[in-house]
Amino acid sequence: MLSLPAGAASPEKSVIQITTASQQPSWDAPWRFDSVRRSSGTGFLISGRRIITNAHVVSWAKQILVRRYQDPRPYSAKVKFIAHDCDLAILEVEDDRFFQGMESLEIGDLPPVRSTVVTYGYPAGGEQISYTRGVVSRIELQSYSHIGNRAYLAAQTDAAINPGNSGGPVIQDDKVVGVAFQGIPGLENTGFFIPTTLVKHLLKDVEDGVYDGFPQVGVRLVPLQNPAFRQALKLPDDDLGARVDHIFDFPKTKELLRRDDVLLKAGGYAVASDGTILYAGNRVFVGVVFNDFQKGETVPLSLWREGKTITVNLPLDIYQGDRTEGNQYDVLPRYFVFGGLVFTPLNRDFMRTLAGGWTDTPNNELFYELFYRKHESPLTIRKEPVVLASILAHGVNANLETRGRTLIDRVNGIKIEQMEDLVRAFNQGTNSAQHVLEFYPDRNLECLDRVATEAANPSILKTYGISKDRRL
Amino acid sequence: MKTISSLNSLMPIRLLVVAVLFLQGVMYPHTSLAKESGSLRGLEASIVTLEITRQTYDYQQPWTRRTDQVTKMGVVLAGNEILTTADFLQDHTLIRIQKGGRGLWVEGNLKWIDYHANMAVIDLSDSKFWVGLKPIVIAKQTPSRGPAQMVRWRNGVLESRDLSINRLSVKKGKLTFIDVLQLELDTEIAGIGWSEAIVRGQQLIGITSSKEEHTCAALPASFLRMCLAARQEAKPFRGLGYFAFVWQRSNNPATLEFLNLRGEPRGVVVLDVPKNTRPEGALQPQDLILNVEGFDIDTQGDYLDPEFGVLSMENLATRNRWAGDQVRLKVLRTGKEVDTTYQLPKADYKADSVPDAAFDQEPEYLIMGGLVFQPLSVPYLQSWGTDYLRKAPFRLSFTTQNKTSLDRPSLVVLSTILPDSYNLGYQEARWLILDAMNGKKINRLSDLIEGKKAAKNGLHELFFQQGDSLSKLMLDATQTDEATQRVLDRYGIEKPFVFAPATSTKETPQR
Repeated sequence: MLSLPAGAASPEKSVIQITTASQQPSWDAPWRFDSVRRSSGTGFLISGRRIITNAHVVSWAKQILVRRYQDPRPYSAKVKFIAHDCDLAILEVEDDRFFQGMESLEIGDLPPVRSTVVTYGYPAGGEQISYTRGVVSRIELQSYSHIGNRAYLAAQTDAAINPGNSGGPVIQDDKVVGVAFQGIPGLENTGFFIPTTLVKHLLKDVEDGVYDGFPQVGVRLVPLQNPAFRQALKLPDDDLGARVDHIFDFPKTKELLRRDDVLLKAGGYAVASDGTILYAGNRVFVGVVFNDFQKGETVPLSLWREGKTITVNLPLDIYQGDRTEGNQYDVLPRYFVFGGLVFTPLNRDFMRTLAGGWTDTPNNELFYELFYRKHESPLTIRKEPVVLASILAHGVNANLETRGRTLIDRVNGIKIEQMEDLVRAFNQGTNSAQHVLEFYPDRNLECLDRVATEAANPSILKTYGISKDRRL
Repeated sequence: MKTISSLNSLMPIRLLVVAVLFLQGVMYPHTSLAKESGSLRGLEASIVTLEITRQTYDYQQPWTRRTDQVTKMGVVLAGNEILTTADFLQDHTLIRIQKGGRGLWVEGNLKWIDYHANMAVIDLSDSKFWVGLKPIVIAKQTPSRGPAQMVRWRNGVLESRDLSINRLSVKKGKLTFIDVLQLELDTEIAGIGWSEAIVRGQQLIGITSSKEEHTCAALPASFLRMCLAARQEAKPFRGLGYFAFVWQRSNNPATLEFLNLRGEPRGVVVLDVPKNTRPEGALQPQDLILNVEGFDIDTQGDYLDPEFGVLSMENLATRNRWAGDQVRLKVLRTGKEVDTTYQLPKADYKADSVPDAAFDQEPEYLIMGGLVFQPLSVPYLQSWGTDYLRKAPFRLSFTTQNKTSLDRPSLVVLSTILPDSYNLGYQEARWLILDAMNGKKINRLSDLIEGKKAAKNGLHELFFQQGDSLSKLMLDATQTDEATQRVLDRYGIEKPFVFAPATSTKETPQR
């Protein structure tokens, strides 16, 4: 083993090059995997022999190799915890030699806007560690593209953040103030890093050995700036307070909050009429406050209700109801193949396989089902909408009118709420000589000859190289 | 040497001949063209040029308008009338007519129009105009293949170009949501599709309605004759009907077996019958339609037309049938053949909760304290472009896809907000479908007038349909009118609202 160069500045000694071999499943042919993809990223060592990096660097990884600063030897690493929602992961290396001579980096606080930061990493374009200097341009809520449907605090910098920088530390005064993670295509000199508030949240979260995630309040909060609306609620004209416009299906929130409550304070932060708070000198959406809390903790809320200020201590929980709307990782897709018809749950990953835009006419029923139905017709939502993803051509399905990418409503009269219903529906015995499939919302009707289909199933699986007809 | 000198001596004569012909073409176009195109002799007396000026509207700012103009063709009918397509006559302000491809323009009047049929008849008061013109002969039968000619006036010349009939098909018309019979022609002719005459010999076999890539669509002579005759027989014109139910082809033998069909595969499966067109027992989901009007229906949904060959059964809704007529059907229902009838609903844009078109009316809108409300319609969505299904806000454009699931006769949308101190705090609110105002359900724009009157405690309360964005806003009801007037003045808007006339059909336009 090579020892680390004595003259090296300390942060880079703690910066780690990560190379991965990963393989994703194919969501429209869910028994199959895409080709192995090799990619690289960056990580850094913190106390407890833990390596912090981005979740997207190690997602779907079959192999993770880590290299120390100016040490050619690769070490095998594995994921200890992964937080896809905030795009962070903690890796561990079993080989003690990896840590010899390495110092862990200290995690600092949120850097001030306009202060200088340096990113460390192994971006594309060379083999050696790279440093780029820039200033913190702004700090606000940003969409986290790895998960796709969550927004957290993020810091923007003009320090170059390129592919390979992901997971690398952003340093200020020898402390980590962020983790480089994403850019916006088309914007120049703009990179984003995850502030340490989220890193600290992750570290505290996993102290019990389980990663829970970030709790949510479960309300739609809207600005309350119209004088008439404020007067109607008997609110003083002090530019404070945002209105609860809608309460989602969060039991405790439903119990303790009401529509048209006005949120005056959250966790001690005064909420302005546009729904923002002053957070470490930055005006950001109040949702940031709740990201400082852990699952099960209680956040004190000051509310204006019926002309009076009241205090509510709201227990916070983790919401999983929108999981399918975000990208999913490390869990293989569920599927069931019957008579060459490939069924799989409707989720964002499946939507990504569709040609053209998600809102193109052929796909917009699926788009509506996934993203809108729960808001507009909550009583009609299904636990797990199932889509006929594709049809593997065979004599038994040769004359179907349906061409796939259609939502399945019923099979043999059984309403399909989730994949298990589908299997049960095909397996149940009836007097009918056909399996009857009804799709929605267009009510298309298809039938499969029961005897012929069941006889053809083995040969269809064999022809298309499918080892198992289901993954449930 | 001899050869060269001979050529040289001939050249001035040739140039002279060309020059004389050119001069003659400029001075006497009719005479020369009539002589040159002998097969068209007489057609120049049956084809006229129409110049239509019309108003177009920007639905993003529905109080603004501009004018647009197009030149198209018309054919002369018996009784001193001119037949043309209805296209571009919507919202017209002026119709001018010219005969012979040049000379004076004479003002015409719209006498009859049916947008679903895409046909219009124009007349004019100047009796002298008809001198020298003669009615075109509309062919009794429409050929379904073979050569044809397109005839139109262009730059003072009666232009005749060959094209080829591809087929007769039944598909969505240019101005309508219903399927109608169309003549499809292969052509490379540029600028075609504006009611040019399609002739074979001296007889009209169609008038063009549109062109897409290398195919031109035309209203076939049979369809023209049928509609013109019906217009004469019944006044007002009863209008086209259509099959409002949704059906599916039945090529899948297992499906036919499930539906208990015995014998040869045939028929199509009824999937959905809209409630407003479903008399008890007339037609039901999972009926297998075997026969319509005496014609057997195959598994593709086609029948053998005695005149045109194989056509979609949708044609049987307009084949000498009109809105309100009963169409005879034979269906297989739970294994038994049942004779039933289907009453054809009238093709009417306003029957849809999100209408496909709103012709001959200014866009409806209502401004209240800077909040702009509009009916949700396809013309409104088209203000995002013809590709509105991609470009318009998804939740608005998607209403055009699942109309049958909507439980309202029409929808009103908060389209934008014209910023004013009155509506401060709501500047970003837009593209929201209204549910209620002050406790009154809002199904149409005029409901807002009643809703406004129902203000309580000096406040307006507006609720939007449940969704993923703002659900409610409140406004000072005591200041609404003052704020509205201020907004109108500041943004240069003449009227605070425009409502459509109550009638939805238009048989004899009054202008």
